[in-house]
Amino acid sequence: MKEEKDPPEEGRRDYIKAAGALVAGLAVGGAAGWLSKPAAPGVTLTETQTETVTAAKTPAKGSFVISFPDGYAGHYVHLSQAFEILQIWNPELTPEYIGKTWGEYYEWLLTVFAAGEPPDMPMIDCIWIPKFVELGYLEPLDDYLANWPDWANWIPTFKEGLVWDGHTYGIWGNTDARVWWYWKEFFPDGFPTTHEEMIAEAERLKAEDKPQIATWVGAAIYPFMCIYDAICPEDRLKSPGWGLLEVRDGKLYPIFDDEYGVRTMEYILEMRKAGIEFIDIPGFGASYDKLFEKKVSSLFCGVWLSAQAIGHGYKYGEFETYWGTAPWPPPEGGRVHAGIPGGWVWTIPKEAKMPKDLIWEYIRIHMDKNFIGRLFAKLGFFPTRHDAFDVLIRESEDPFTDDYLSYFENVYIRPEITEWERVSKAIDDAQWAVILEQKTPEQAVQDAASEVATILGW
Amino acid sequence: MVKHIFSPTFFQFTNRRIGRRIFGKIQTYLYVTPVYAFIALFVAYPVVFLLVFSLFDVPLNLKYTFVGLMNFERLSRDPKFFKTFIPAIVFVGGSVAGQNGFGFFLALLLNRKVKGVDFLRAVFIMPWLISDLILGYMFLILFDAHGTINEILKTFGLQRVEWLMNTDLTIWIVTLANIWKSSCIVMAMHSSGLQSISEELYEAAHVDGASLWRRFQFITLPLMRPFIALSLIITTVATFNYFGVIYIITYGGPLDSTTVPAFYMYRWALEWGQLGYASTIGVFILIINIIFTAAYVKILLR
Repeated sequence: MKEEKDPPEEGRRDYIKAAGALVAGLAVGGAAGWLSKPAAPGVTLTETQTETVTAAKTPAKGSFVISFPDGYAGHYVHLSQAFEILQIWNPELTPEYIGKTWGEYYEWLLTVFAAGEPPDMPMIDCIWIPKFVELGYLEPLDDYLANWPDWANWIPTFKEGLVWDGHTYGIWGNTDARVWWYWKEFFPDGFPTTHEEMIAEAERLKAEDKPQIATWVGAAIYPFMCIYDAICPEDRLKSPGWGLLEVRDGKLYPIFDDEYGVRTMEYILEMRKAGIEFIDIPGFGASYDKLFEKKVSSLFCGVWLSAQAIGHGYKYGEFETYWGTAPWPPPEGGRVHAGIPGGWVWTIPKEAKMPKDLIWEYIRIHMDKNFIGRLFAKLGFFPTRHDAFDVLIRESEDPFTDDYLSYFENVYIRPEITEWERVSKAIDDAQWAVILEQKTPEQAVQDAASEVATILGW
Repeated sequence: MVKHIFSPTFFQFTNRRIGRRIFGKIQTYLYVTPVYAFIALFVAYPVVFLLVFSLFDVPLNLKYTFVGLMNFERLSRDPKFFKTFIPAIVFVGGSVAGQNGFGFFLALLLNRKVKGVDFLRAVFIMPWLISDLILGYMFLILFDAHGTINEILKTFGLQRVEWLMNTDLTIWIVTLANIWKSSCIVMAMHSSGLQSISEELYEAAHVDGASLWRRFQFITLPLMRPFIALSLIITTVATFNYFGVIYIITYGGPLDSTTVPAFYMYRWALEWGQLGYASTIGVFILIINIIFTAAYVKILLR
């Protein structure tokens, strides 16, 4: 007969075994940790950062929460390097990085802000600033900026894009320019430099049954803004309305339903008739594959196409063999520009748990020109301070960087207004109504302007 | 402890008979209390909340202002909202008809005692397990201007069709995606119904010389009526409240041709940040769902 064990004795043995395993685990883990521990952070401080760090006062403790959309996950490396500098004076401070997909990020932010638990330093889309400010979520940065000499190096257009109600609420984390990428084999004479040439090229490609020219429609309401900004009087292209709206009786009023708006729609209709392909928002992601698989001969989107090419297995050294880049070809007599860029902005929430001075210190550290210059050389985005461009050009392997920056000189920002998403949808709908030939150009811009007037409270 | 308090022994110190009588009266309520509590928390509370929200101007920071019936007055003057019912009729009508028709057909096909039928049931349920995101991208790949269907058309020398840029076609594409996704769950519901019908009824009818169609008409359909009613209610309400595939495949476009009321409500709530107005749209959707449900119950379960 099998001898039965005394249950309590068996239980004691289990405890002893577990304790033994724990001790062994701690010993092995500790040894491995000690062996793998870096000798030092290895961070070289630049002049600005040194000033920043020495300005730090009472050391802070706890978890410092930083959030950003996953599309900018490359920021993680940058952020963690900058955080190591912050930790020199705040050794008990730990970073918590929260990355979300672009689709879910906005809703997640709204939820955590509404719950009073925002991240300490969220990166938000530039077009959300008015809405977030109106909801009382963001801290104005005017006092910090007034005492920051570096602020003088920021591009004025972008500075204006951060202002709402007379106050500045963020610092651009990154921006971009919108450009054409084209396969050289389909454009032996180079990419068209005028709208008229582009129409001729599209007709040639159609006749030869070759892949067509393709452009995104929507997002920053292009192609409308690319053409409109090229032909609209330059003095109108200023904040706050950027050619689309003007201040009347203290309120914004739509003015794009004039000859320039109508002509812009007529140019879009010409593009459609010539065979140029228009891609709607759900098709944006797939459009990169279309370009690299030569289903389209050229694509207009953002400078991040370089990173997409790398993702598709190409090397920087091969870029110029296959492709060229170009700004939007303006109609005859129009001006060349880089459309209206987007970008993401670092902000300080009013209800941030960490001291706001500390968050500002951190923003300053990683907004250092050398830091962001090196980062964007890898990520394919642009800084919005002039003095970082040299670093970017020096560090970037992308052969198109110089071109991108030359297009980038003439950018027009979007109107920073609370109702922008509804306003841009009205203009997008007008574009689609023209592209799908459901409305005439005149009718489309008039209907859109009338809708925008209603949205703006007229 | 609970058992001890509410058991008859609790009343022993007074009068055993009175105690039993009182307990007998309240015990029924005690048993159903958890169910009512659940309904109150997860059904009644959100509905009341929706109704209350619809009377307020509620920005995303939830600092609300009472506006009375102004949101309803605004909704009555919102032509874009009423336009959403045109695609909704196709989306809901097409989805409900397609899901129930195809689902019932599949259930009939699989209602046989043949080898491998359980495996086939498992295979057919798989679309239900696929996320909307993947389903959406599948349909984008199929119907893109350079997608699979156009490639097939091209091999036959036919013209490319811009499926997703046609305001008349897109709503049918998202409806097809929804039918493909959800027919299987209808099949599962109908399968359980079909299996509850006694084999003897069919055998008796067969002996009496009833044809296959007659057996279907006079045995299957009448006995399946409660299942069909339930399935119609569920698919109608679910589709009317659903916009997952629309979000991925068309994002309501082109030109709002696939913007259904639920997606319009979503945009007002989270994109345009007016939760009060979105709640008013939600109340409207709720009323329509109640009307649909009541109509089905009245017609099919009378």
